Amino acid sequence: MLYLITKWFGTFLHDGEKIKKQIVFPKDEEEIVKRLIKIDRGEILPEEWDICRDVTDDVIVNERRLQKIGMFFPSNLFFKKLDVDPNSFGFSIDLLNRVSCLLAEKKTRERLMAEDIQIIQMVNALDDLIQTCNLFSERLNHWSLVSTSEEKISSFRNIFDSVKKEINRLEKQIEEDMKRIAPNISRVVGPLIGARLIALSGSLEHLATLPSSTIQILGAEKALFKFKKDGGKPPKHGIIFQHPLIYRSPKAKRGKIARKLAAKISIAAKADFFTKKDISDLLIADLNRQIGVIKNQ
Amino acid sequence: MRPTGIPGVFRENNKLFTENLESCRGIQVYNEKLVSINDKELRSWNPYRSKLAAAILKGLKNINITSKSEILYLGAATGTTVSHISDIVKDGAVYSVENSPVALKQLIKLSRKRHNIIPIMADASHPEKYSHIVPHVDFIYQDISQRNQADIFIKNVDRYLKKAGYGIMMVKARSIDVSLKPKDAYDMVINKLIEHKVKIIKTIDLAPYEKDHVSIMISL
Ligand SMILES: C[S@@+](CC[C@H](N)C(=O)[O-])C[C@H]1O[C@@H](n2cnc3c(N)ncnc32)[C@H](O)[C@@H]1O
Repeated sequence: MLYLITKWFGTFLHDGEKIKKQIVFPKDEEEIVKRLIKIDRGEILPEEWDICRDVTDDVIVNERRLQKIGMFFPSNLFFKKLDVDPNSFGFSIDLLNRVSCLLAEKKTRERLMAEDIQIIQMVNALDDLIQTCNLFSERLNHWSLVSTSEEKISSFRNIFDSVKKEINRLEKQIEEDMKRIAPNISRVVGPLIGARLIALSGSLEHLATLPSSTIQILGAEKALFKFKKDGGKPPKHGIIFQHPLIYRSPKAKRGKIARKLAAKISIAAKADFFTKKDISDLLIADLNRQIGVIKNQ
Repeated sequence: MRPTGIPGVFRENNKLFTENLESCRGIQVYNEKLVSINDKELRSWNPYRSKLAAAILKGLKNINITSKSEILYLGAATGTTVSHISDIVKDGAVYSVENSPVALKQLIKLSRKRHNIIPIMADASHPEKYSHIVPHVDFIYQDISQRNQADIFIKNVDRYLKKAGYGIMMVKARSIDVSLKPKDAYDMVINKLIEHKVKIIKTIDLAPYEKDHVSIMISL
């Protein structure tokens, strides 16, 4: 009986007393990271296939991903005692340090992107659905005016209803995810506008580094472009116009309020991305005070 | 300035210091004070920022860590405490597990300067996920403020702690159960540890440095 064990520096077959067979990895951080990423994804390494080739003994493994190579006994006691010393194969802690930094860097980048990409995709899907919903509702109105039997319309109406349901579901999901990933932004402008801001800037990281004057007009790129080309008035607000603080305010005060709101969003984004501290109570209190002042002017 | 009995850790009145790594001279990690004495550079160790420093100031005398120890650290965050442990185990290693990508970014930066820190992006509740990197260790440190942190600790002890190994768990009463009195929350954790044949060596309240927190030192 042989135990198969893979460590960051190689793969080994152990008979319970000593190592019977070994394949060590190249002493190169990129090469090692490549293998660790494969392992992370649940794949079997070529070295692991190779070491078991031509072996007649039963092979025991304690990782599910190795089930194709050996018998899977995750709680086998021997694995608990078994350890292979990297130093005895010439692999130093310095190399492991470089390997783990590189691997962790790749994983953090992937994770951060994955979270943002989810939100961005959901926001885009939501906008598609809203547009579809508007088209459907217009079509239904026209159709019911000229239709003689309700029956023909009803299956179309069913699709319309499920689109509306899907809009609700997506909105809830976005709200939930936003509250987890960006609690401060969610409190300050609401999770949906917040999600659109992330989508417009490309990522939470990018939003956190934008100046608040840019955040103020995110989503008004067309108007800004027109202003640069033809002159006239620059846009005072982009997507944040959808916030009631702005569209419910008198026109003359919207620009000032938009500036204050954008400044708070900028701080909120920095807190969400860098410090992960919930400072939303402070931000909201401060914002309300500033807006009170503007309204009384 | 006098030694504390913990290798690499010094004390002056109510202030703790660790001896900075040779390769990191002059580099601050979190704005801590650097002091040169003879041919050594010492970094001040803030008990309000690091629960291990708080525990030592509150009477933890022997943490059973030497300059050669290999440590598994669960909940490394940006590496404030990890950096001081890295000072102490200068010829060993700190395998530092953290699952927040944003915190980890900073920990990686720190690890690039400190050869004995091994940053690992993983969820500590799945210890099998880092078995390719982490060996059997002399010491397990946990500071993750999660409701099920005792279960997570036990899983890692079971898989990675050597027979003669030790460990410390930092417990925040509120993360275990807000509705319980702190004392009852701690007892819940301690009972769970004992049930799993973990020996409790010492429990220390971390006030005034942290409110409603204890450190629990254990051995196998
Ligand atoms: C109180 S902080 C740790 C502070 C750090 N020990 C210090 O003293 O510098 C808790 C950390 O544990 C992390 N954490 C929580 N649950 C975790 C898990 N299941 N796996 C890994 N890390 C976790 C959190 O992301 C957070 O960074």
